[in-house]
Amino acid sequence: MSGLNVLLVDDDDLLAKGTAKLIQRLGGHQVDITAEPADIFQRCRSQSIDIVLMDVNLPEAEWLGQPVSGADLAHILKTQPQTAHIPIILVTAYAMLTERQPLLDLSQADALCVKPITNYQDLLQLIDRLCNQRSSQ
Amino acid sequence: MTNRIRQSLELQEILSATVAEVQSFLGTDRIKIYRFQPDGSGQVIAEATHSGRLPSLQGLYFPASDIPSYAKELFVKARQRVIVDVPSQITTLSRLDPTQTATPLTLDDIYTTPIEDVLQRPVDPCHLQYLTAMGVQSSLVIPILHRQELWGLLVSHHAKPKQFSKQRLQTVQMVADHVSIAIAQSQLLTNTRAKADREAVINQISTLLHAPIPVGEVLQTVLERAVKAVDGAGGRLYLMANELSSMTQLYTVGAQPVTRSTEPPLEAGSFWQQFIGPEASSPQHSEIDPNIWLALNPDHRDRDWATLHQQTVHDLCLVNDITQEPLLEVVQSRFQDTHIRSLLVMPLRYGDVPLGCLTIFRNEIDTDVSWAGRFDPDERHQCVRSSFEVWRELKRGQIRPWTTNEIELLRSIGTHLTMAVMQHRLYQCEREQRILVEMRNSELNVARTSAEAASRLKSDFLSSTSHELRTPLASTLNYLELLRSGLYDNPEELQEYINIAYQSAKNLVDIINDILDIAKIEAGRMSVQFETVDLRKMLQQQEDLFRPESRQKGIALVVDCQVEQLQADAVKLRQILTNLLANAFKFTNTGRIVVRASQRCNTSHPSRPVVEVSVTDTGIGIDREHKDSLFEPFVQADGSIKRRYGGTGLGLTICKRLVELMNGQIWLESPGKGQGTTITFTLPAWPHAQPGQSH
Repeated sequence: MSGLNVLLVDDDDLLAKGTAKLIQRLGGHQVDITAEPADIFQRCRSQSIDIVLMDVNLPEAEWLGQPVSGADLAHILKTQPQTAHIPIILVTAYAMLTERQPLLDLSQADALCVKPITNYQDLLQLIDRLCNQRSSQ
Repeated sequence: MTNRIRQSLELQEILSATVAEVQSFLGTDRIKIYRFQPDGSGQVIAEATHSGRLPSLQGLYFPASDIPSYAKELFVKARQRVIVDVPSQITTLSRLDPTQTATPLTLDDIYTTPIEDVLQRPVDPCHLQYLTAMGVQSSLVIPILHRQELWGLLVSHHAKPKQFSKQRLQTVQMVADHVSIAIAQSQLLTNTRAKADREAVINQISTLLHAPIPVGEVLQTVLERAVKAVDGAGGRLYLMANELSSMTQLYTVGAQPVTRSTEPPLEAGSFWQQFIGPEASSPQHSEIDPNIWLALNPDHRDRDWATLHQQTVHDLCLVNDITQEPLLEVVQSRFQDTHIRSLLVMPLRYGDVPLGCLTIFRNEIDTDVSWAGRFDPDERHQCVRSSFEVWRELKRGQIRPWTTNEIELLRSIGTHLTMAVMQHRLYQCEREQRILVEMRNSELNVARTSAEAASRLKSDFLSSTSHELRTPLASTLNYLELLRSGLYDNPEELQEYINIAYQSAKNLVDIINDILDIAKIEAGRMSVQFETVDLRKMLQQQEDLFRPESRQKGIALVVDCQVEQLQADAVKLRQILTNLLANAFKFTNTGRIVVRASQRCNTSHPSRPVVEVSVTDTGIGIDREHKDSLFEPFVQADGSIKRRYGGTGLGLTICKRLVELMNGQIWLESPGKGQGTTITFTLPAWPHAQPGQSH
């Protein structure tokens, strides 16, 4: 599967640019980068997004005057009827098992992958699988 | 007559009844009961007179020499009456016919001569003279025995010659025998009463000793009771230091010898040390000398017993006269201002372990004895004094010896005290063990809690470290992946990817170095080498180092150094300064950066001045709430700072640890966001701690 619209949420420009380029070139997907909560919601509601790669650590992000993390944003997306269907993969540098499960529970995200991503083929397969599940439902 | 005598168990009543009855029965002028004292003297303790022809002798004392010892022995041996008819100058002993004997009897004679031979003989001329001087023409003397000892005499005196019928003599003899029985009974009663009294005191004390009140109060009260029970003037209870309490304890009551605060207690003296000192031997159970029993007899009037000043009876020691005890000589002066004359020491020991001792003091007393006629006790008077007029002899400062009763009582109290003290010590011991166990448990809890906290901190640090390393690593790997897969469109893009990968990897190395620094400090393996640092020169070098950045950003760097030298580790001081200046330049876009160094008085230790160095910028500043956490690892006021300004988030943490290693302090001040920041640190002007390992 290729040609998916991937929304990459990350506030580290340099890192995000590299990641986006790899997904584009290796998976043939369209990747948009943003770190603005309003922008995220707007894009997701517009039905143009197939899957979200969400960085957990977004220190500058605020929603309704409150600081929010990527996990919080994922939770909002998953609990809104318009956006609940969109698969979300959390991306985090918190690598410990004890840190990962609470993030998944809190966010209701579909999957979690740990930075640094060392095997993009695995990530691309995960993207494919989640989008297939979604479309076959 | 005997019924009247037996109506009472009180000795004095019995004797009064006896003399009255005998007087009316015999019809003589004076009937008296004369009681011997342990020293051989005697006192008229009961008397009945008639017709006023003979004076009353009631209460008067007669010296021991008035009745020679052979006469006394004769009374015991013959157990018979003596009738002296002064005009006929014949002494009749008993019923038998006299055997003429001219010479006075000796004690040996009495023991060896058959009783019949001594029964009747001419009156000793001295005795005759004695009776004549008393105005007595007829004398009848009947011994009163108690426990085979001569207890006293029943005496009839008449101013005129008088004959007694055999029947009358037999009756009076019978009365005397009844008096003996009455004395025995009365003595029994007295003993029983004394025993009951003693037991009552012991019961009270025993109850006290097990009462649920603080042991100090108990011991004080018991001491007071003990002193009161034996009519002591004062007393002290001395408890030695032991493994539970390092202090000796001393309870006192009543009269005490003078002890100046600089002097050791009495009990440290050699007299007491013989019972409780390291050399003290276990009590010796020696046979009691019969003389000692006499010395302890409750009723005796002391005269010849002064020599028996000290007697060690079983486990306690009594000193009847402290002035005669050689071991007390050194403390004699302490007793000078008191009336204390006798003392009793009851060592308290549990098995072989001396616990302390109970000491009771007793004052000297003044005696007042009314003698029947003046005599000179120093001269053996061969013949009779001419007058029996009352002679009052007042003696001051007489010793009052301890009695068996008192000794028994104190011994019992001592035993109870020992048990109570031991019980208290055991209780204390048990309680201390319990407290020790509780303390150990709580120590273990604290240790466990802090170990858990340390473990959590370590795990948090590890987690943060892992997180902080993964972000630059992700960037590095991303661009290396792009390069590896050849995913670049032109040479410029290739160069850009290579540069980004290189920068990210370099950043990674910085972070790892900082982490290693912190780990080293926290593991206590960072040593400090104090040396004299030329601060002016070092700041000059920093100025040179940051000049390019200063020029490039258009920010002035001003150095104001009022200090020539200080004591510090030069390498670490340089690291701190570089770190702080780099931070200042990083977070300042316009304005200037000022470095100030001055010597300050240390308010908490005025003798230890400090050097204060501050770096002030006009940069982004910081909110109050983030001020202190900035020194924690990986904390930046704002997560975005790293992305905007770079850095590892460990710079201030390292500065703080290094400053503390050199016995200094560091703090941060900022009026608020956007209003600049001042970071100040102090270092001792000279080192007051040994340079060495930190922890």
